[in-house]
Amino acid sequence: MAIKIDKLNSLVEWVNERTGAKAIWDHLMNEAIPGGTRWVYVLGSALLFSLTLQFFTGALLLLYYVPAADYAHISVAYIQKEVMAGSFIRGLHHYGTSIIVILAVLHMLRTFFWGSYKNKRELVWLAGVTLFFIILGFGFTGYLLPWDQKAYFGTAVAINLMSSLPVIGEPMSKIALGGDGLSTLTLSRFFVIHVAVLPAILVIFTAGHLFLLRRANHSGDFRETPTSEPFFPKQFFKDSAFAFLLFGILSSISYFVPAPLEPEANPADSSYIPRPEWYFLFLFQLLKYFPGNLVLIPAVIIPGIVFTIIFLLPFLDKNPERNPFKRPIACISALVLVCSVILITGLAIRDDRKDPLVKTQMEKQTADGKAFLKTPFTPKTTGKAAETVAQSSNAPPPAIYQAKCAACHGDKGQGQLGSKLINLSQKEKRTRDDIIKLLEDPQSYGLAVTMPKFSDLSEKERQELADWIVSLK
Amino acid sequence: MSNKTTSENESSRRSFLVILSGFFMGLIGLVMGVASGIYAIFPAFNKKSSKDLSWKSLDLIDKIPDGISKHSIISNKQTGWAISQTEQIVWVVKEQESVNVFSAVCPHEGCTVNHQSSKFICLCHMSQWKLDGTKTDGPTPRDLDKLDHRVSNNKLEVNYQNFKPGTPQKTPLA
Repeated sequence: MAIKIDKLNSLVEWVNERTGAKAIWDHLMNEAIPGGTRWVYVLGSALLFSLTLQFFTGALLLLYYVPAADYAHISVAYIQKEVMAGSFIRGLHHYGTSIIVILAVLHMLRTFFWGSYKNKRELVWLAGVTLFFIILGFGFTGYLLPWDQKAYFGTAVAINLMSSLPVIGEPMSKIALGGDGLSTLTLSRFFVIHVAVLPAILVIFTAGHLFLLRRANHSGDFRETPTSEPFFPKQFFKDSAFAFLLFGILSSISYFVPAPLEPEANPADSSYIPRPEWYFLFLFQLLKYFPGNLVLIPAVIIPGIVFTIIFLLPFLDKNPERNPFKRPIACISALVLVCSVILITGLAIRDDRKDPLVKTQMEKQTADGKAFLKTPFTPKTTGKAAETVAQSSNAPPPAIYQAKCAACHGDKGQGQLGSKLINLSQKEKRTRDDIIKLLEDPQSYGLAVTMPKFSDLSEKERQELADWIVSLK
Repeated sequence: MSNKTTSENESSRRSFLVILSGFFMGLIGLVMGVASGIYAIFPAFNKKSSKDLSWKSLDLIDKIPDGISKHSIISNKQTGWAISQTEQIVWVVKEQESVNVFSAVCPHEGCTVNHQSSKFICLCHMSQWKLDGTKTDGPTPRDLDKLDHRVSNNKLEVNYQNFKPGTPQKTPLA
């Protein structure tokens, strides 16, 4: 045993001599926390843990996901229904977003009430608030990617709102959409922002946030006690224990409650009522209180003012006092803001339950989503003959067709030597009665002699053929 | 004396916290490792990514010329979320009453086999075969892969399959 430990130690020493790992470890882990370690300080590292998990599960989802309007939904359905552990991995990614939004808000509130943005920590706060906006950007762009009903209609409404803003609205929405409507190009844009642009910015700002934090040192307890405790091992333990608890909750939800997936987006569905993700509900609810011509107030002015105040907080609040009990105005304002957001979110939920029409439709949508998750997976046909197979939703041809017509017109009416019969009835002089007559004497309908006369068929057989041909789509 | 005990207690409390932290993170790593492992390797063992067993019709047997002719079939295979329909080439060699159908996939490394006058040749690594499929030259480990065929309703039909490349035996792939 002693020999083993000696060997391990010498291996550690060998690596250390070549990398300086011990000095890096000491630098990272032995930072002083003024006033001692606390459970309430776990929120920042919990965010770091959750964001790392999102990177990991996000990369796994890319293994099967296809960012094109025709295939996005089927590939997500495949992950959800067929791939082993697919429902679990997607669940972690889906519910992880909600956990991150909650943690980010709590982390910001902790920083606010402890006055941790004060005393030369302005840039830590600015980087942190920027990270919060990046997280919301992830939520917004990720929402469209499954290309189900709520993804499509939810995003359509958000972009329509953008386009109703004066002057810049129209060009901005066009740029976001990649054209005039929500299309496969929109999906590509949102996908690239979600998996390439935002992750890069997130990494840069997270690194900046941590670097600036270490430069300014931990703010620690707001009572400014002179004693301090090192980060390792007590805070390290608290952080790991909380990460473990968080992972326990997140993985249980992901395992037992599959992430929702509704049927594929159907732009022709006029009855669908879209709702944003719960953390955007308060913004959505605000829109209801203002008439359409004043959309600027709830969509831009109110959130703009609130977020500017939050962003610039360290420059607006120069009072060096950190103790929340000694700065009542700031703390009460923050509590009022938090309560307002919760209240407005609550009103949005209540409104949807109050109106019987909305309530019924929303329940139907949830039920449709659940039913879709339960239906077995059916693969999508792609490639060479996909078009022909797509036409096979037509009824099978009558026996007389197989015997007399299929050799030239194809076994499904798709056309080979002879012309295509699909959608024939949409052409001029090709009604059911026309086809019956045409079979007797095709040349009188202007057809070439390659189409033989079928005057030997009985009237009933010709009717049967005409019925089937007219039905072809 | 009491000082020493306190520092020993402190030290064992420290290592306990470290071990417990390691346990927590190890468990998270284990769950994620197992979940992402089976998630990532899943398609390699998925039975539903099936081979396409249906007979593909080539042409009316009387229309197929004597000698070598090139034909294509559409194969349907479920790969992941898609049933992908891909065009595949087969070579038909018809001599009087005997008909052979060969896969155009080279049994060496999987390039496409072509024909030159009265032999088959793979231009990737210059493997060569006679018209009956027996190997004559080059690195190919085996003869050209013969495909099962039959004549039904006067049409030549083939059972298209892929075989494991690079081995002397002809082993069908799932």
